[in-house]
Amino acid sequence: MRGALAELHELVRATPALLIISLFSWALLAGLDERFTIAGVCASGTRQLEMAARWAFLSTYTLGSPGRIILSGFAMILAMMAPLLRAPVSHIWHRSLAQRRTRAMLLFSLAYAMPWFLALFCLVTLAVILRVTLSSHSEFLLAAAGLLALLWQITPWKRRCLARCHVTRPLRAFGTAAEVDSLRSGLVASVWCIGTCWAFMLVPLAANRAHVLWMAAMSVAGLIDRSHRPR
Amino acid sequence: MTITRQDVWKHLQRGSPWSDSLLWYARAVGEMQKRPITDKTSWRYLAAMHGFEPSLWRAQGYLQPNEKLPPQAEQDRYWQQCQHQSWYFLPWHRAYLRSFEEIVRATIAALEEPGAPRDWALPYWNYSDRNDPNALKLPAAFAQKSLPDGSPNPLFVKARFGASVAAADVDLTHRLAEDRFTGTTVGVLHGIGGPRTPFSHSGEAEGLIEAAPHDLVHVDVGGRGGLMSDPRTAALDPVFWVHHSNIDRLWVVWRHRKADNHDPTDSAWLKGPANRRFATFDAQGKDLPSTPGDVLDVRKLGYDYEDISDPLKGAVRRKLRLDEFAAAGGARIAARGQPMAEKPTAELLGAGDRSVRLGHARVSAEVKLAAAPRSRLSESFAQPGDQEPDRVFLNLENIRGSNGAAKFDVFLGSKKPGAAAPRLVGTFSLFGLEAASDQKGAHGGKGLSKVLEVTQVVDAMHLGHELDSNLLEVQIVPRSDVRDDDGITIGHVSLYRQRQP
Repeated sequence: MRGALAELHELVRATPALLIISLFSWALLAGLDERFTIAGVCASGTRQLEMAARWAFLSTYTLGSPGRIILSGFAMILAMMAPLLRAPVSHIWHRSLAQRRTRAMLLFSLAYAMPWFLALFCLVTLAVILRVTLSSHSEFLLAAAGLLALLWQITPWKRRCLARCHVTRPLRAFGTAAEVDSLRSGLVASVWCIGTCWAFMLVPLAANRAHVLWMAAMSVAGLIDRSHRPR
Repeated sequence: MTITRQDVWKHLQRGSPWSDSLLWYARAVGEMQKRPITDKTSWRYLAAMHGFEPSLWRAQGYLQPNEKLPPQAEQDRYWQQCQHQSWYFLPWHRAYLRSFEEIVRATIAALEEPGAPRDWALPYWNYSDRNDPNALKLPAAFAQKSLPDGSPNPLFVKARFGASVAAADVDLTHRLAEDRFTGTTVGVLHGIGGPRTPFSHSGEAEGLIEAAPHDLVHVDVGGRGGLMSDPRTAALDPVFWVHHSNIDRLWVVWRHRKADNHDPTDSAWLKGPANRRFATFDAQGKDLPSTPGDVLDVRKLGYDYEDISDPLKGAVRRKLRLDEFAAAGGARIAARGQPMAEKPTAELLGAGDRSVRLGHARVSAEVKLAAAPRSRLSESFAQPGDQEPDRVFLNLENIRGSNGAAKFDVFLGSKKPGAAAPRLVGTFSLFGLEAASDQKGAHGGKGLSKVLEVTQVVDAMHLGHELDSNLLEVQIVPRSDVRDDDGITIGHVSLYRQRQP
């Protein structure tokens, strides 16, 4: 826990903007009607699916307001991931020419968010499948997701993903090459981040209620995880 | 009781490579080498606290196949702790040396031989001592195959291929003159102590003392394939400890040479690292966990150094730079009393557009300067009053490959027609390269990064009107056994300007 607090302290000291973005996203998530959050849809949608067509789960995503669901997905990624991005964000900012920094950050963010949306889609799909399969044991689903998250933590693949998360890559400074490198940095950071954190993300999606609280708990777990650098 | 660590070259018996201190050290090392690796006071256990890689240890003959190791939980707690490329580099090694010294002293006492000292102290190798013609040479006792009584010398190591260090590698002028301990700004120097990091066995850029003399002495002494050239085997070589005793001494020297040279006062450092303590222990194996705040004062730890005089005689970085600038024909900029509280700011000045492959021959890389920061750099030379012009730093990022003993000189010049030939800016080594390049390791394969100050060369280029060109040339020349198949690449070359307060 001391490690997580130290990470937070560094966040405030070095990249307070990331903390502000994260807090704003948490406020947005807390303010959204839970039925229309991505986790809420995952839970409520499948209850309707059971009555209608069990395996037509893809229609889940259209049950609520699509705009709000996308917004909630975006907020979920920002709320949970922004505090973990201190190193790559700092790298992009300081390794770019001053006049290109804003553009570089936008490109990095865009490239970082896209794979996460895809991953979120896959995770929601997985949660829906599990929920439909285990419809009569919905509490078991949360326990299974928690266990999966714990098991993933001790695998060598997870450790490798975490180590690669900390890797910063060369950024060319001029012209199109600079934009390409910003995009590539976002994409690569996102892929290793997903590898590190996907199991943490699955837990709130597997919960029946109190999704925001589960997200918060998993965010703390992510911070603790990040503070224990791989050896 | 305060014990005094002495200069290893200064107390030799007449006509002999041995001093009493070294003889007792050798006997204790021999005793500790007999202990099993599972014994916390054994030679190998203590070396593994710095770094451990079973395949390397086996290849060097320090680990037998299927030899019993401590339980994994114990290894996780005590082994592979060495802090490099971190502001914990100096305090972690101080705590580590204190533990080692106490164990050696207890081992000497347990030998129960006549005359065994109760106040044995770890000697230091002051290779930077310009008054001693022997200083650059490996202390001769470490090269003897036998002790005076004819028995094998435990200080002798086969896998040590250097007999001396280069004078330029241990020059302290632009090291100790720096007045900051740490730094947080990307692209510029991180003070004498290293960048602000968490507990880090796998950093990137390093502090001034770590870069040189620390890294360069490691590879000068170790040579290609030598124990000292890799952090995972370095502490197996008995000379490691006298080298680090000197590195610890340099921290004391820096701290004492100027009243306003301060260690960090940030609790993140004093009480850090956040998620663990430095895990060391005493001669009985009893835990002695510590933080940087616990090891600040060497006298409180029970030792001091024979010599902590200032080799720079009070010289400070700003004055050194401005005097050289004026001597080369630049404007004389007034001295300043107290340093400004304001922190310097930095920005990217220019960069290359491709990676650079290093090998046995000289290589060149082009660096393009961006118009706006280049203009700000030029303007900094024309500021009124006592304002110091910008400092400039060359960054070599994401260096990967397989020869940690490699060492290179770096030259910087202008591509402007008629400009002077590229000038030497410094030397860097790749100590720790293999581990940093391992994608499956803690570094994730990001490699090492080096920051070299090029301010003096940029000053000269400014005075020669060579900065009119927006293209600079960086030349990198191997100064050790480097082969093309070492696969050494620099991912990116860039320049930073740092506005001075």
